[in-house]
Amino acid sequence: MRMWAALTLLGCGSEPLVPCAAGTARIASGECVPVRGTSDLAPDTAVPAPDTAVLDDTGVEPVRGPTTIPLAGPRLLRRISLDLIGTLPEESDLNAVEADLAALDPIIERYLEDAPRLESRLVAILGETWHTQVDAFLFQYLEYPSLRLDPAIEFPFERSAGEEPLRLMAHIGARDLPWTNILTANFTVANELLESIWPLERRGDGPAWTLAQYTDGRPAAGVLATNGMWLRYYSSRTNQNRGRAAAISRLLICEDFLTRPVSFADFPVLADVDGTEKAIKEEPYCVGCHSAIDPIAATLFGFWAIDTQNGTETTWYHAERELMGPEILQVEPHWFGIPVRGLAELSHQIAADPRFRSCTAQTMARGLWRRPIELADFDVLAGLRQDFEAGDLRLRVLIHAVLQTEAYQAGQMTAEATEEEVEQARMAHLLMPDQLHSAVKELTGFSWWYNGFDQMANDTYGFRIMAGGVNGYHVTQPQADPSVTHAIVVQRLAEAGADAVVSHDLIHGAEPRRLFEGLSLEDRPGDAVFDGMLRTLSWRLLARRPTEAQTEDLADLWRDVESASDAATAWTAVLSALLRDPEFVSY
Amino acid sequence: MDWTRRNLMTSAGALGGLGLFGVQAGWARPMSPGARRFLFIYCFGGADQTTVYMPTMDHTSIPDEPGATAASVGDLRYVDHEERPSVRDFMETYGDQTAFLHGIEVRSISHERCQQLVLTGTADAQADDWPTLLAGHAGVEVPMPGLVHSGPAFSSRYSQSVIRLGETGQLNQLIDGTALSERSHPPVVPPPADVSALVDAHLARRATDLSTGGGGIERFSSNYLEALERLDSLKSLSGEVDLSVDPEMDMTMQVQPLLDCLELGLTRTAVIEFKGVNQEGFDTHAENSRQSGHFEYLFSSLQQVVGELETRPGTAGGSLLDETVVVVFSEMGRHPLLNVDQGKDHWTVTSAMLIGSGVAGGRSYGSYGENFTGAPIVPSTGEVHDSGVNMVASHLGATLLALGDVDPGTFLPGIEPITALLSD
Repeated sequence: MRMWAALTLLGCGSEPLVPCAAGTARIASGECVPVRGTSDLAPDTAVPAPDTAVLDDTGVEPVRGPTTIPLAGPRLLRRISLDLIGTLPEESDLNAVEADLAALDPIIERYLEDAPRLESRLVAILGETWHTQVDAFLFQYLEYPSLRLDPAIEFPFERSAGEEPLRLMAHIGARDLPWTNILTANFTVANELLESIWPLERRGDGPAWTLAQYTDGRPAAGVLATNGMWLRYYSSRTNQNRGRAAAISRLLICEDFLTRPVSFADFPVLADVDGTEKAIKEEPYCVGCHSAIDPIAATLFGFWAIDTQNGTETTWYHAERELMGPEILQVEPHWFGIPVRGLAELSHQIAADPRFRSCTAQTMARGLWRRPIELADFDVLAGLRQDFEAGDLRLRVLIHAVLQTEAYQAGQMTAEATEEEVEQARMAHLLMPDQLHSAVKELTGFSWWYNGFDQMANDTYGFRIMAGGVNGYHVTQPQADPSVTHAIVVQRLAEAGADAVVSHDLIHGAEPRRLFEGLSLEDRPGDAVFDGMLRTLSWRLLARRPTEAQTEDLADLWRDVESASDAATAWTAVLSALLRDPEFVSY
Repeated sequence: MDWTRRNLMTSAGALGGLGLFGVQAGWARPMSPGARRFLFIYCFGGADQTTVYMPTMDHTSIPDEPGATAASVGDLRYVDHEERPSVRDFMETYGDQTAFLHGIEVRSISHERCQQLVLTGTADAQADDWPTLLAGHAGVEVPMPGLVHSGPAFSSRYSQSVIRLGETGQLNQLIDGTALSERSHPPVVPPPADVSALVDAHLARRATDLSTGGGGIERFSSNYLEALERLDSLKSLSGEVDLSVDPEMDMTMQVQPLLDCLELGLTRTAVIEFKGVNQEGFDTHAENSRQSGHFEYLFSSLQQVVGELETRPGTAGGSLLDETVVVVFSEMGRHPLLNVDQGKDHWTVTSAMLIGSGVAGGRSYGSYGENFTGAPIVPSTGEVHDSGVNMVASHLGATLLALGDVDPGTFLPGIEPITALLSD
């Protein structure tokens, strides 16, 4: 049974229950349990956590109660909406879920069917792990004669190239195709820019991303046959594709060879000039990794560029070099001991590897839980993998399953949680730059661009890592907590968004209204329309019904600003305050 | 109040009155007089430790760079070459305050992984790096405890302490509003200061309420409130400190905002990336001779940066150099042998250079063995001996934490700092 359905049956939906006492909250079983930090204890007194290591008189470890309390329905809907489609839920959906939690399921189905927006979110979620959305590749747009005259093309080039593998995966995931297609597809996706510089033909017109096919004879290997993948994970001549093989292992089966310590301290690699190569083949310490890495690397020589800074060399497949792998590396191509005859077979072997399915579950869980995977998560991950397999390896099934986990729905810790669990837990997730941007754009119409750069998606001129995102090289983990730079980016984005929508809706009175439906600049605090708008804004933006005091605080802010300037400025201030609210920038 | 540089420097509590949040006491205060600060210079790409730091003329297996000779200042040996006069100048000027740490094993040969390992000592993605740990212990009242100009930054528990300037000075543009008025299409005029202040005050009340009100958002709101308070301090300082960045300028110019903030006690750790000549980086898989130009550029820059630290006043009567440690490091070393392209590939062992406050300079610590792997070092003496330990990045970290009066045992249990390097 899905967790929100269970909650509905237990009274969180239409059947009201007796409210829990102060310092307690209701969990999925219907019980009211103590909540950390909100009990009747003195403010600085921590709720004592049970010592789970102590056995009772029978010698049996006490059974622990639940450690988390799920978010209230509307806040949960808001979290799901921001995760799946990158925008806030519609007011009507908030109302429906508030009235009956069972309304959540059809809304989720609708979100999962919203392929364009789901694709955009999948690009962002997968990008946090795949690290292909970088601001610089080894060669630049300037090296393409057709691009170099337009400086505004720098960002489109970088994102087009870096997002090719992400968008291929997102296309497969959002279209409910088997996830193994990310490794076996004989197609890619491309936009007009990529078609103009790479050897591929698209199946559609216009500037947007469409299905496409490379025309240079590369094998059918899904993301492993995309230029975007190998531009990001390039190989030097002497590395001989080993770094790329390690990336395949990290990204597709979650086995990261690079986390294994490498030490050259204990064997004489300098005995002769071939010492290193010899050690790779003979030293047990080296063989442990290289026996797996080198046979994978041997399948990648069609993408091996003699000159890594030559566009043609790097972006055309070289079928004639395929056999160089076994010759140079002196190994036969294998996938962890299973012989393969090249990249296409390698991709099929990865797709058939159970670790690929586990890794997919892990990647999606990490992306949606907004925290690293812990050892204690592995039972849940095993369940997610089973759901994924039972759903014919469709990503949407897996996403749906992740949304039902306790870790995803958690909104508060109970007193059962240990200090360590509290330390690791992130009950409120930080809105990522792409979510901030899409949510503010949808609410206000404002989108932050400068000289062809999406300012929330780059770090050359923009604010991606300052707002908590990853850049793929120096910052490889999304930020979990708010920071100074996150706060100032949010401030400016909120100010610009508020300015845009107040200008559109209230100053120019343009229709249809984006946000301030039914309001005019003549309305004042105490007017039904005015007070109603404050309540509506809080509900829509924060997914919480404001208290009278909170509404009055906003009205006070409006009055203070209005008395110093005018009503339009006052609405701009109120809206920017809401867009910077802790409950807006978290989810 | 007149926010002059002197005022900021001499009054430890001077910034306490800046807050718009009603959190007057203890907030926005410079670091304590004399408190040690750090300037991290990250050499991107894997600097070749044999080009300057480690003479290998006695090593039978390693080819010598033509024209290179071993030289020394006191007990500090380095590689001299006529193409690198700035190295010699620097060593002659600051060699007595400079220490080399040799044989640090990073335990990987991947750039990205090595960046993390050399800065955190672990592959754990949740670990804070050395600059962040030091910044995290600067005290919550320090406005910009960890300032990152460029380069890697790994922060988790203390991420609120880290502030990025942005590759092209975006922080400055965000604070002064030009990020909207000049760098947005269409341009947006930010609200006037009095309106901003009202919104800020409203937000501070909201964050305070939520940080104590339950509902699961307490920790987030508390962190958010701290970020807002720091931001408020930054806005107040915006006319006093120039935080602009021009990536086209050379390092000695780019480092100026960092030196300003270190001097004013607004910052405990500052990080800048050095990419060498033409921003190529030190990753010389071909033509390893290019390392020479990068090192010449690095040391000519260091001569000016350390010189400036020496001429700027500290907060305790001496110079800023008396209170600042300059840490020059790379994510990995380079293989001792040339490859077929006359370049050098990655090597798991590297050297670092520490200059300035608290550093027992004029000598090196640790060494390389016959296979050019790290030789065991005795932390208390810095001597190479079989009874010693094989140095890893955590030993560098423990030493830096010890220099910063942060207990290394808390974050790196079982790792002993190289105490011989500590002069006090």
